[in-house]
Amino acid sequence: MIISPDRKDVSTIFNILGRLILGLGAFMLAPLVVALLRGEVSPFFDFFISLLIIASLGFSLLIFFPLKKEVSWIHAFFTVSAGWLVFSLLGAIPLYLSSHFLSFVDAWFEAMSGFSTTGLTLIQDLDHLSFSHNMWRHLTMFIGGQGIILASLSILTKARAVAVGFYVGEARTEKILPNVVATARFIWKVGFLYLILGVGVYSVILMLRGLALDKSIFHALWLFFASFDTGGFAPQAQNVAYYHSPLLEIVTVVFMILGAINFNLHFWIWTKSKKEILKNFEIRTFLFTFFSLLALLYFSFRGAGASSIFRKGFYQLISAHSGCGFTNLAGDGLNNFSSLSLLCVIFAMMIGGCVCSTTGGIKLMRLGIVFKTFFTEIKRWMMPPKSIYKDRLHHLQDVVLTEKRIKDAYMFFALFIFVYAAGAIVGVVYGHSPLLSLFESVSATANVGLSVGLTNPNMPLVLKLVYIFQMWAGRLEFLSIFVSLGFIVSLFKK
Amino acid sequence: MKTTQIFIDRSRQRARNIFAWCLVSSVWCLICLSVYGQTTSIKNLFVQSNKFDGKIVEVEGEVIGEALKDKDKVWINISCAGSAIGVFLSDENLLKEIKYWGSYRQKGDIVKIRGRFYKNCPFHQKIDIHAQGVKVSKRGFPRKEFVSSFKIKLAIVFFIICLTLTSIYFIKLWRRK
Repeated sequence: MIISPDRKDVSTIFNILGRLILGLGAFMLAPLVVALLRGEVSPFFDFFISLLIIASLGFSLLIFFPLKKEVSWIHAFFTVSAGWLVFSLLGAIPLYLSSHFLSFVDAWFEAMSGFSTTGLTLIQDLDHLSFSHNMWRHLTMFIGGQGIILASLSILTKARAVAVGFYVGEARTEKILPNVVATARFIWKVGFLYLILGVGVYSVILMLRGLALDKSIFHALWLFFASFDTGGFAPQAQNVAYYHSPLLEIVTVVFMILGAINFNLHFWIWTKSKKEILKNFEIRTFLFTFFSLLALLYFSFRGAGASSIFRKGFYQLISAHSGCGFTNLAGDGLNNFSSLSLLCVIFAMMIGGCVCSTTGGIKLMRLGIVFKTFFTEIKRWMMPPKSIYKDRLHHLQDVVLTEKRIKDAYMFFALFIFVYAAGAIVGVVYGHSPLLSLFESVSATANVGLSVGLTNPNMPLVLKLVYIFQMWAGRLEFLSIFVSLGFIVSLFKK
Repeated sequence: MKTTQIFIDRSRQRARNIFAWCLVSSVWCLICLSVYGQTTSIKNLFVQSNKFDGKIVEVEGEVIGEALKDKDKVWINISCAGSAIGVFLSDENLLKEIKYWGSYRQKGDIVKIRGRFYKNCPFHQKIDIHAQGVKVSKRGFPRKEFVSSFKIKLAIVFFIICLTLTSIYFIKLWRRK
């Protein structure tokens, strides 16, 4: 029997959405303050208007849709999937008002790209964008990376009973602490701790480069948001290449990797055992996939010097694998890569980072399980028919691979491959080459943000909408979206 | 007679050779001239990077952001029609002419850069230009902020709506308590 929502459920969902929208409004105070402090008059109005619209909508939902039921899993899944859509639409308002976008869809694309920590951009004339708008662009990545709903969850207390629903809905599969709200708060604490460290390091590098103190701090903050939350936006059109600093590039690599590591592993290393980093299944899978792809990339770059391979190949590969999307390539960048190099980057993007991190993609844990079970299956055929064999992996502790875990891994693996391929087909329909279409489709779905140029303000509207869907679905890992769609269908069947 | 004939043939042959050399040299010079010091766009540099690699080029673009120190050298970034490139300057004095740097507050100076273009710079392992000369071709200017009356009206309307809704919500909340 399928649970079908009634009017009371709808009212409850809208009520929770109203609260979350007000939470988004609170985040928008940051760029508003920046506009005020820096005397950016026009952007101040952009954010003031947006804040008023958000607050009006939030209070309207609270007034007209009272909380009529105890918050349950149905509400959690629906709120998460609808919440991300509504947040990106509302987050697009100040961007659209900035006049740096051709249409509202472009601004929506940018906001969705930010919230989903993708980093694909349709902005025009980025080098003349105000500080406050840049603050908002980058803040969306921090909010999205840490988990929008999770952010609100750590503030809201009423939803504790079904906190797990919100947590799982935002594509997080592991609890760090027994209580989900405590887990949410821990994730934010980790974020803030690294924020202080990151802003400090980046600021020093940028000041040494000759940037003014205030500009250094702002750029450092934005670069941190983009690297640790694996977003990939940058305040200048040339992305990381603008700074011409190999040292800065190395530091971004460190923060990209930190962002791609499981928050659970951060917790474990901090509080329990530092040796876990060497034994962890996900880290081992990462080392295997990364160095295999690097070897392939080295082969495709043959003839180039070591430093050239680092700046061109290694950086792009780590950026793709961590799902960040930073690039230090100026000009046509990735378009100058050979087909083999592009394939390496595509595979890295497809895989992504660890579960319970800010990255997208299939994730290392699932890929590792798929490989492990494949080899186990071969072993089984080679064993006596009646022998019992249990597969294990080490993730914080020794874990027996259950049927459910294997099934989940294969399901997500198949779903991601399907969406990657579907997006690529749409690209091909619009006349792009299969390889480039696949690249852009994977980049959007795995929330990476590297581009071979298909993503631009003049691309067809349908392609923009497809990529928006891919970024949204990829970030939430499909589940909450499909469950929500199922509920909508069940409403019509009543 | 035979000796004279051989001499004439050799002279003709030599003349032919000289002519051929002149032709090849002229074509080569023309090719070189077509690239050397050629004014081009940044976009074109990227598209035809193989053609311009290692050649002296001249590009024009708005100077963006700020000068970025690299030990005793300096980098600047120039942008034109959505494409941007880093320019490496070994002499900081070349920047003296630049007054406005492109940002939210100002439109940067349009500069003409003359320098060697590298598709894959042997010193920096990236695409760049090593400048030999920088000339401001058009002066930038401070950008004036403009707030449209539509935005002001919109802000007033939503302020009233928001205030009303907030009041209703808190009155309802207060009554419930």
